[in-house]
Order: sequence, then C-alpha cells, then structure tokens
Amino acid sequence: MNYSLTGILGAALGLAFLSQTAVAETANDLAQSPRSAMLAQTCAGCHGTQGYLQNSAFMPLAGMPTTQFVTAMKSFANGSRPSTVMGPLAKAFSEDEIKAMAAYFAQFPKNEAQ
Amino acid sequence: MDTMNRRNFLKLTTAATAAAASFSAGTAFAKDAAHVVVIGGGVGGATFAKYMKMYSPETKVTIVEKNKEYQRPYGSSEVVVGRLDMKDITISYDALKNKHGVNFVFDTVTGVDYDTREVKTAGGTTLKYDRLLVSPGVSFDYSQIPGMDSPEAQSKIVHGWDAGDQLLTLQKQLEAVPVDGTVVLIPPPNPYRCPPGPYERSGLIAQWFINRGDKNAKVIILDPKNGFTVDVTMLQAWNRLYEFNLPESFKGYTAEERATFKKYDKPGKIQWIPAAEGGRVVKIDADNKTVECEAGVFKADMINLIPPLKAGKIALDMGLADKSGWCPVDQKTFESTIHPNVHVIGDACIAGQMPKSGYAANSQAKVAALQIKALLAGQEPIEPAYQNTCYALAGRDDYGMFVADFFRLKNGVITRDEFARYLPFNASDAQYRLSAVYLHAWMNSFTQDIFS
Amino acid sequence: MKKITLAFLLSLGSASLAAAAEQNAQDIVHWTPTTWAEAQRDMPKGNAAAGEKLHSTLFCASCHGAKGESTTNNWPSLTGQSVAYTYKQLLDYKNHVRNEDDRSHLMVVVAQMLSKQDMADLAAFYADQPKPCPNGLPKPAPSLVTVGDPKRLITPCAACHGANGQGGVNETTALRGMPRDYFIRTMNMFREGHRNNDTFKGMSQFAKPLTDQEIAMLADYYACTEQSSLAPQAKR
Ligand SMILES: Cc1cc2nc3c(=O)[nH]c(=O)nc-3n(C[C@H](O)[C@H](O)[C@H](O)COP(=O)(O)OP(=O)(O)OC[C@H]3O[C@@H](n4cnc5c(N)ncnc54)[C@H](O)[C@@H]3O)c2cc1C
Repeated sequence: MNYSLTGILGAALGLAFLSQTAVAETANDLAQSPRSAMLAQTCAGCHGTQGYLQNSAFMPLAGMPTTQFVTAMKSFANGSRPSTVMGPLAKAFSEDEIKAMAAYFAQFPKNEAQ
Repeated sequence: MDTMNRRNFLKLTTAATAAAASFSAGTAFAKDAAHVVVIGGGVGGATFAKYMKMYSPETKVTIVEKNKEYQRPYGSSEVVVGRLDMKDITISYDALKNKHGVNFVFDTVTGVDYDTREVKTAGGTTLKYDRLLVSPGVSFDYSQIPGMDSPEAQSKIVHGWDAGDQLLTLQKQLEAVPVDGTVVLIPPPNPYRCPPGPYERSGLIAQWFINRGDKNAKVIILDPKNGFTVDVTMLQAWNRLYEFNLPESFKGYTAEERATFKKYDKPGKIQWIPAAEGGRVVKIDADNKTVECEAGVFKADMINLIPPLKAGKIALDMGLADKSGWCPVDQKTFESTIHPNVHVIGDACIAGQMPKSGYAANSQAKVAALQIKALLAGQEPIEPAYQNTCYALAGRDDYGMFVADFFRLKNGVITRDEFARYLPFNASDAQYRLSAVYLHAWMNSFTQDIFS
Repeated sequence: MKKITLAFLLSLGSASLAAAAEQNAQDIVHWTPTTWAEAQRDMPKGNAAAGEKLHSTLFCASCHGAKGESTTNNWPSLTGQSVAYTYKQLLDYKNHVRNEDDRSHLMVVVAQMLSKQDMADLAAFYADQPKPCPNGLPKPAPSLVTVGDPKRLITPCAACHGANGQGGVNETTALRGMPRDYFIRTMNMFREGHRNNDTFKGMSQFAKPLTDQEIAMLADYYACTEQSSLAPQAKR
C-alpha cells in the first residue's frame, strides 16, 4: 500500500474518530450540565423525578430518545400536535433549552414499568 | 445585597473546602461534611431534601418537622366534600429517610442563633448548619376581621387551609347544612396559598349539594378581590353547571365572550360578590353565623373563612419576614435578604410573579438545591428556571382546568413568560375532561416527585 | 362534536364520570364470540375524514402522535391497526371492559364522549394511515413467531397477528412497529390478568407461559427500531 495513502486514510480515520468523541462528549456534557437539570426538573412535578413514572396518564420522559423529545416539544409548540397543557408550556422554551432537556432525560435508562 | 452575597460566598468557600478535604479521607458524613438543615417537611422542604441528596449525596441534610406524617393541603378540599379520607392525603416520610438518606428530627423549631448558626427545637435539640432552608408554609391573621379575634370564634369558623382536623370540622359542618341551606365562603386577599383554591372549593360544595339532591342550597362567595387565577375558565364553567350569573363588574371577558353567558332569573347555586360589588367583609358574628359585608348582611348555615395569610409563624419569629408578612429573598438562590446563609422557599417567600402553590414550592425547592450545591462548592449560582402548573376542578369531577406558567429571572425578579396560560375560552369538552384526568394524575405524580 | 357538547352540558345532575369510571367489576359485560360478531355487524360505516377531525379535537395526537403513528415508546401505535381492532378497543374502553391501569383510565374517560359512529370514524382514519415499519420486520423471525412452542401450547404469534405482524382478519392487533415499552407492558398485563378484553382469551392464555426474556425479544422484533438509540445504558 502506498505510504501517503495510508497517511491520508489514517488522518481521515483519526479525524472521524475525533469528531465522534467530540459529539459524544458534548452530548454527555449537555446531559450532565446543571443548566439542563435546572430546566428539566421543572417538568418533574408532573412527569416524575428524572422523568420516571410508573402507572400514570402522563408521559414518562426518562430514557426518551432526544429526537422524540425535541420533535414532541416542537410540534406541541407549533400546534401540529394538539394538546391540553403542553401546547402553552412548550412555547416557553428556546431550541437550545429543548435540546438541553432532551439530553438530560435521555441519559437515564428506562425502567421496566414504563 | 451584592456585598452580603459575596461575604457569604467567601465564608462558604472555606466551609466547602473543609468539607471536600474530609470526603477525600473517605468518610461519608465526616465531621465537617456540609450540613443543610431544613425547617418544615412540607412540599418545599421535602422536595428540597430529596433533590439536595440527589444532586449532592455527600451533603448531610436534616429536616426538622413537627408532624410524623405529612398531610397534604393540595387537593385537600376533596376531603371537605367526602371524596377523599384523611388517610388519602396523609403521606409517609419513609422513602425520604430510607431511600434518599435524609435525616429527620420530629420536633418543633423554636428559634435560631444566626451567629453560631444553630437551630433550636422545643424538645431541646440543637442543630448546627452550614446553610439553613426554611419552608414553613403559612400562618393565619384574624386581626383585621372584627368578630374573629377570639379562640371561640376561630374554633366555630375554620379555614381548613392547612390540612389537619379542620378539614373534618368543615366536612361535619357541611353535612349539617339543612336542605336549601347557604354556605358563605370568604376567600383571602392576595397574596395567598393556592389562588384557585377557594373557588374550586366553592364549586365542590355546590356539586356536593347537587349530588345529595338539594336543588336550592347555595354557596355565596364574599370576596375582597375582583378576580382570581383561572377566573375566566371557572366562571364560564359555573355559568354552565351551577346557574351562576356573571357579575356586571367582572372585566375578564370580551363583549362577545360575555354574550355567550346564560342569564338566570334568580341567583344560582353559586353567587360571587366581588369587591367592586360590596363583597369585602366587615364583620362576622360566629355565634349567629352572620356575615356583614359592604353589600349587606348574609345569614349562613355554614361559614368557611380563609383569613388573610402570612408566612409560617416560625419565619416571622425568626425575623425573616418584612412588613408584608412574607419573606424577601434573592430570587436567584432564595437566600434571605435579611439573614445570610438562610434560604426561604415555598408559600413563605416573596418569589416575584410566582404564585403560592405546591407546584411553585416544589419548583423553587429544586432551584434552591442546585444553587445551594453550587454555593457549598464555592461556585457561582446558575441561571434559574421555574414553573407552575396548577389544575383545578369547576366542582364536578370531570370538569377540570389549569394554569400553566414558566418563569425566568429578569432584573432579579421571577417573571412569567408571556403565553396563553389557561384553556381557551372556546375549549372543548375533551379539554375539560382531560384536564380533570390530569388533575388526578398530577396528585399522584406530584406526591411521588416530592416524597418517593 | 356539537352533539357531544350538548349531551355533556345537559348531563348536569348525572353521576360523575370518575364515579362511572369506577364501575363495579361485576357490572362489566365481557364479550362472547356471538356478541362480538353482532357488534361488528352493527358497526356503522366509518368516515376517515371525520375520524381525522376527531383525532385532533379529542387530543388523541397529544399522546399518540400527529397522525396516530406513536412517536414515543410508551403509547401504542394506532396507524396500521385494522378497523375492527380500533373499533373494539374503543368500545371496550367505553364499557370498562378494558381499564387495566391509570393510563387506560384516561382512555375510558375519553371513550365516554364517543358514539359508535365516532368510533367507526376514528377506526377508519387510523386504518387509512401508512403502515409503520415500511421496510418490514427483521429477518429471520423468531421461532415463537413462526412456529410457537407446542410443548407449552403456545400458538405462533403469526397465526393471529399475521406473518408480517400486520394483524389478522379480525380484531387482532397489528404488532408491526408497536413501540417496545407498550408491547412489554401489555404482555405483562395479559400475563398477570389485569388486561382481559381478548374475546377468545387467546392472548391471556399464550402470554402466561412466556418468560420476561421472550417478551423482551418479541418486543424488539416487532418494534422495528434500532434499540441502541432508544435505551442508553447509563446508571440511574
Ligand atoms: C385547599 C388547597 C388546595 C390546594 N391545591 C393545590 C393544587 O392543586 N396545586 C398546587 O400546586 N398547590 C395547591 N395547594 C397549595 C399547596 O398545598 C401549598 O402551596 C404548599 O403546601 C406549600 O408548601 P410549603 O412547603 O411552603 O408549606 P407546607 O407544605 O405547608 O409545609 C410546611 C411544613 O412546615 C412544618 N412546620 C411549620 N412550622 C414548623 C416549625 N416551627 N417546626 C417544625 N416544622 C414546622 C409544617 O408542619 C409543614 O409540614 C393547595 C392548598 C390548599 C389549602
């Protein structure tokens, strides 16, 4: 194999690896950040501590994939998903805040009872 | 304000460093582990203790609470109308103790020494704190209501606004109301615990009369105010359900909305006399059960007076309240602006535009936990976020409503984000019914968030 | 909707809904194959457009997704269900035949607002939506799906729920794309007897001998999603 090609490949692989860990780290940082907890804990009065609920009419949020959370909040806010309480509340949050809450809830494993 | 905070900050930094040193030595609660003492194991205090342990397991947290079990005031009007028993609103502290590692001292706090940072109890215990969190709820002020300043009057006419046996007294009084009888309910002036609460209770009582087959019994609300939280949803519901006539003076609706209201020939099962129409009470005769308000004298078969409220007595005794009777705090951290190292949350504190509700107390407790964790570690507090979602029933238990608010700190004041906060005027039956389902779901999930 | 509003407002003195929802177990009338056959014969013809409107005015979307496609793991997918299935579940909720927990209690309340025509309309709407999991189920199918377990008298899932999980000819559930958590919860409910609205008591019977692992494996198979993205393994 041509030396320079290996070099290029290696560099490319390295870069790919780097950027992936960077993504993982930011996701993790976001989940762990006190600001994410600060925002997400306002939901817990209905949706349970860390989003854990057993048998409830409300949606458990623990372990919800981030894309589900973000899509739900956006569609509640813009009314494409009609709701009772969530419509007004979802409007309160910026895109970054929604992502922060999504990361927070996604970090917890779901429990069986959900 | 600023200088005081910085001073505390320095003090705490040293405390936290000492604490950190002892953790590295491997003891869970080493002698110098930070100790946060909590006065009151109600919504605010219990939520705080649980979340503080969750965010900072190494911190020692001790709740001083006068009762062995908690009786929740939220949802407690359902006891008055017999939909719930006392045991349904009684909650154990076991999970906080056993699962979350919160220490408990069951005793009444009698005072504090701010210099030595010690809390003292009636039973003679002294607890040393690094930070003190105070969430003692409310006390009741009869001084401005002629006729109500004697203990006898206060035992005949009760509020039932702080759970406890008064709920059963009200239940018995209600059962004793004769057919076609009259209940006079007197809500307090602002600010007070649970803004929709007195009106929800009025609706529950009106519905209770209907359920017992009583066609003419009624609830008359004599109000020192001209409006209340969720009024536009509640009054519309009453007009549909309880032959309620909308007072002329009420300003909450547009002309078109007003036009949709039915007019009834005689006063219905609920009458609301706002301040603008003479609802302000001037005198109560507890023996004869008569109430005199600016509009005239009303003879009642039962009176439920919720007098003006203040911060819980211990907060007053500790000098944490200002002239208003409530406790001023730095709204970012809930640290008292009067005494450093002491935080006040829940009904007792002044929290900008946040109402005095369980949801608010719970939300404030979580903010305080994150901020106190930062302060104990010598870090700056972070940008806070707060919420309040309160559900209420119109009376019938399938007709619910809510107020939903999100708050941010703006110029040091907790400020409501502007968006529609109630059900729309033309909400559908499904919305009322679902709100009622969510109300009951909330009672469970909320209690779990605090106590499980 | 007008009609419902009026009925609702006129029902002033009537027993409250919550009380109605706590109907006594002995008052609940379960299906027999005959009564269910009759109910299906009497089912009005559904109008999908009317169903779509109900889907939004009754806030079904709030839990089940904008078109009933269940964008979450917790509530069932309604798209892809047969008309008979949806119609029967709604009837069951209304008659308290299905009321296994606080989640289904919400549906019991909602169903009180529905006429048979409304139910048929909703059923038609969901049946009209694109089926979930367009690329089909993973291959190969687990043997419980294709051959069952004769030793334990377990009929293959595919026998009633279709070779592609598309649901049977009758009222059996379409399992293709069913959210994993809902699947597991439901099987547990059948196993423990909390849910028992299956007309022929088939599901109750076949669920009993299944192990937790088997249920989880079947849930993964029918859910049709990359599970890795769904359940991060952080410690609580
Ligand atoms: C009828 C009614 C309905 C309500 N409904 C709702 C609702 O639907 N939603 C909602 O969000 N909120 C509702 N609320 C309001 C809610 O109950 C209160 O806002 C909430 O309890 C306030 O929490 P807190 O921690 O400030 O006080 P509390 O919960 O009252 O806790 C105070 C605790 O401190 C203890 N304490 C006081 N002094 C001492 C002392 N000296 N030593 C030791 N312990 C002491 C008390 O025993 C008590 O346990 C309702 C209230 C009422 C009355």
